[in-house]
Parts: sequence; C-alpha cells; structure tokens
Amino acid sequence: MANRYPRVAVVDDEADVLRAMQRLLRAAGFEVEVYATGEAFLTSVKDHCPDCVLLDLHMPGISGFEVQAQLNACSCAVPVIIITGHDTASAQVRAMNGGAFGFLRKPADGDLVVSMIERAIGGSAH
Amino acid sequence: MAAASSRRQLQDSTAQAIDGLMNWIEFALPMLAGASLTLGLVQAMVWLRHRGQWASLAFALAASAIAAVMLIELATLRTDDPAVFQRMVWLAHLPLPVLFISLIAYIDQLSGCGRRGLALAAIAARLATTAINFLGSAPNIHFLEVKSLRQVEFLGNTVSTIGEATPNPWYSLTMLANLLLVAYVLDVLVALRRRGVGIDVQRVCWVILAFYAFAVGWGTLVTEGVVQGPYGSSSLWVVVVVVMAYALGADLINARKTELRLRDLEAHAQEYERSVRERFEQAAALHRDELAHLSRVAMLGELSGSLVHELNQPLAAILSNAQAAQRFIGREPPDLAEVRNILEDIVANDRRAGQVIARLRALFRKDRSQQRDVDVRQIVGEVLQLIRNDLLNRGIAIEAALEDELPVVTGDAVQLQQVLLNLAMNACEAVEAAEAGGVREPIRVRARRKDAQIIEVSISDCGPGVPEAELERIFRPFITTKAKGMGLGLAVSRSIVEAHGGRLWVISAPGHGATFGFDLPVCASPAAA
Repeated sequence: MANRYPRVAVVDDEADVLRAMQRLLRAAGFEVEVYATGEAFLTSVKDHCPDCVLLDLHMPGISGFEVQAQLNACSCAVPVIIITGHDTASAQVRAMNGGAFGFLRKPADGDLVVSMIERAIGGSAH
Repeated sequence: MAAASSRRQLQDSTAQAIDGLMNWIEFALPMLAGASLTLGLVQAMVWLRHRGQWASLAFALAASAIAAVMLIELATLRTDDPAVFQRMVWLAHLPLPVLFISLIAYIDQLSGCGRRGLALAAIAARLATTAINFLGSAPNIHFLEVKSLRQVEFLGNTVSTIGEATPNPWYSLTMLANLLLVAYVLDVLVALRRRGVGIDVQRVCWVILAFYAFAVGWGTLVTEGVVQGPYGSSSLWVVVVVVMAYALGADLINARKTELRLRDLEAHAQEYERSVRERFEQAAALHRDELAHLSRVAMLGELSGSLVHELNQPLAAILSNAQAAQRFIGREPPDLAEVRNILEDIVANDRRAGQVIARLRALFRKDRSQQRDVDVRQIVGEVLQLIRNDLLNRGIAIEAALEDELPVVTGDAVQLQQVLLNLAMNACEAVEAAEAGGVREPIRVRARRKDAQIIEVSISDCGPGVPEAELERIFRPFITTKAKGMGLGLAVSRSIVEAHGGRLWVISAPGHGATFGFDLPVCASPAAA
C-alpha cells in the first residue's frame, strides 16, 4: 500500500455522479475504479479488493445494503462509506449496523468525502 | 207602320233590358252564395291540411249551408205559387240545422269557453224542429197553410212574399232553439269580455246576435205586413260569413305572429341555454383543474423523497466536479484539459437540474388546462424519470415498451403525466401489497397505437388485482383501498382522460394483477415539425 495510491471503488448507478466522484478522488490522489451496479462491483471484488468503497444505496438490481451484506460475508474486509440521496434515519441505522464506516448525504462536500476515505483507509492518499 | 212597329219593338226590348238590369237580386244572391262557398272551400282545404283545426271545418259547413239557404231563398222570391213557396221553406230546413250546429261548433272551437250544456240544448231544440219539419203533417214548420203570395216591390225589384198564411204552432220551437243559441253566444261573449281575450270571436258573436235580432224582427214585420219585403233575409248572412272568415284569418295571422314570437323566444332560450352550458362547462373545467391540482400536489408530496433525490443527483455531480476542478487547478501545472471537461459536465448537470426544477414547477403550478400537441413517449419517459428513485427505494423494477413513432395527441401534458403518475404509483402499491417474500415482478408500461385513431397507454402490475365488484366503484371519488390517500387519484384521472376525449379503463382478474390504461384520440391535424 505504501508503494501505490490507495484504491477507492465508487459504486453508483448515476453516470454523472460517478464521473464527478471519480475526478474528485483522482484529484485527491486516489486510484479510482467505478462501477455502475452492485453486481459489477461484487464481481470485481473476487479478483481484487479495494482499500475503500464509496457505495450508493439505491440502485437497480442489487441494492447498496445487499452489496454491504455480501462484502461482510466474503473475505474482502473493505471499509464501506455509504453516500446516498435518501437520507432517512432508518437507512442510516441499517447501514451503520451493517458495519459501514460512514454515512454521507448527497450532495456531499468533497473535502469531507476525501477526509472520511482517508480516515477509513487509515492514512492520507498523498 | 213598319217604322212605328220597329220603334215599339225597340222600346219593348229596351224596357226588358232595363227590367233585367233592375232585377239585380237574381244576380246578387247567387254571387253572394258563390262568394260564401268560395270562402267555405278555402277553409275546407285548410282543414284538410290541418285536421286539428275544427273551426275551419265548422266555418266551411256554415258557409256552404248559407250558400244553400240563399239559393233556396232566391227560389221563394221568384215563385208566385204558394205550393212551391211552401216546398222551398220546407227544403231550407236541410241546410239550416247544418248552419246552426256549425255556428256553435265554430264559436266553441275559437273561444274555448262555451257552455257545452247550453250548446247541446240549443242543438237538441234545433234538431227537434228539423224532425218536425220533415216528419210532421204540416207542409213545413213555419206554416200550416199558405193560401196566397203577394208580389211586392223591394229595393227596385218585384219579389214574392207571404200573402195570407196560417202559422204552424211548432214554429215557436224554432224560436226556442234560436233563443238558446243566442243565450249560448251571449254567454261566450260575456266570458270573453271578462277575460279580455278573443276580440275577433267577440266580433263574430256580436254580428250573430245582431243578425238574429234583425232576422226575427224582420220576419215578424214582414209576416205582420208592416214591412213590404221578402220573407227571408239570408243575404245578410254574408256579413256573418265575412266576419267569421276574418276571425279565422286573424287567427291564422295571430298564429303566424305567435309562431314568429315563439321562434324568437326559442332562439333566446337556446342562446341562454348555450350561455348557461358554457358557464357550467367553464365552472366544471375549473373545478376539475383545481381538483386535479389538489390531487397532483398530494401525489407529489408522497413522491417528495424521490423528487429531492432527482434534484440531488445533478447537484451532487456539480459539487464534486467543482471541487475536483479546484484541486486540478491547484496542481503545478494545472490540468486545464481536465478542468475543461469538468466545466462541460458542470454545465450539463446544471441544465439537468434546471429541467428537473422546470418539470416540478409545471407539476406544482395551478394553471388552467392548456391544450397542446403532446408526445406520449416523452410524457411516459418523464414520468418514469420522476418515479425512478421511488421505485429504486421500494425495490420495484419497471419495464417500458413504447412503440416508436407514436402520433401526437392533443392535451395538457402535465395532466396526462399526472394520470400516468397516479397509475404507476397505484401499481407500485399493488405490487407491495402482493409481496409475500416471493420475487417481485416488474411493472410494465406500454404505449401503442391501438388503431388509426387511438393511442393506448397501459400499466400492468402483478398485484392482488381488483375484485370484479369493485371494477367500476374504484373510479368514484373518495373510494380507496389504501390505508392512506384521499381516494381521488382514479376519479381525477378519469375526469382528466375524459376531458381529453379519451377513456380510462381497467382489466383485472383477482390474484393475477391488474392493467390500468387509457385511450387517447390521435391529434386530428398533427403539429407541424
């Protein structure tokens, strides 16, 4: 990890959001991989495990909650930060109970996102 | 001698010619009879075309009877034979009862207020005199015997009249019948004057009364020898005929005036009815628009989370892009190519947010319905976009099958979106209600051209369906199967679709889901591109 940039996976079905977040995190010094569906991300996890995942909750197909559950069930112990437009208290409680590192609401401040990822990973990306 | 003879012949022929010219009664009575018959014929034809106009028939019979009486009277004037005179008086009792009854019928029809009892009594008395005239032993009901006739000068003419005669005592029955007729006519006259109506009929009554007074008086004076003149006075009936004809004509003129007035009134009534209908329709449209707005706002309230999310997405993208740009610019050297790409995305996302706001503003706005050309595919797409996040939250998938190149319909895009939104949200709730741990079937949205004139949009779900007994009831206002909700959605949707000339329908089998849909007429004249 010391020899490479921290790898952050972003999972969101919104292409615009995905692209913007990718740019933000890249500008912040992360290596970024983006996934439009939970299924695509879970498939990639079998191959390699990112250092952190920024996960949307409501997506077509597998929801963020299910992705979180499947991650917990597999060997990939990656910190999960939920970022969602549906800021209901129940969703937050459910995500945190599921082991999420953090819970952010869209539109989330970029510096806050970066700092939370850094805390989740345990160090600066730089 | 020859010259004297020819001069005498000339004098004789001149005297004969002058006598002929002077004997005008022989021309006048047939002419008056002809005139009377002509008037009668006209009214008979009127009656033949309008069978309900019994007054015309009564007049035609009365006029014909008068003509007959005149011709019979002419025969009495010309004869010097008492037997022929008696026979003619006897014969006159054929047309006289017809005249009598026709007069009563005429007045009854035109006035509408004659006493039927009095009329029947008069007719009965008159028929009795007729019977006595024809069946009695006397030559006629007037005289038991006419011994002689007298030739008298009357208005420059020599005419026959009663000489020596023995009256028939039954003649008083004729007088009774005449009195009853006079009483009937007087009664009608009084009634009409009290009501202040029927001026023309009143005039006829006056003339009849005057004629009877004169005829009775004249007959008495001639019989008593006080006056030198003919026994009968039928020529004066022409006055009665003319006044009666005028009353009928006036009736027709009045009828025409009334008809024109009625037409005018009818036109006014139609105009008023149209105005009231327009106002009612305007009020109904206003009411429908207000109710639609109320229902729409309530529905949008339910969707608020989803709508906020719809706006949040471009805002989130803008914020992340902008903060990324700040970082790229802060680098040495700045990554301007990336910043340029970011700015393009920011512009695009800002526009997207603007569109979301415009769409929401349109849905929340309380406007009168606006009829424009509407692309059904576009409104279906916008509704799917609106509910997309709500469906994601609820874990419900939606499949759309929209035919390409659907023709435009004329309507209010916002209201049609509202209908679709309502049907889609109902479908979602149906799917959730049916959930029993199994796999949720997607909701299916379909838009197709049903035929040349109709576009059909439908939404199918695999929910519990609608019981047959409820299929019609669910479209009524304030009927709902949901725990929450006013029960206005389907009622408002139906009124919107019907205001667009379409039809909202449902097909459902309990346990096998439901399909709600609406048909819309294709725009008659497609909008120019």
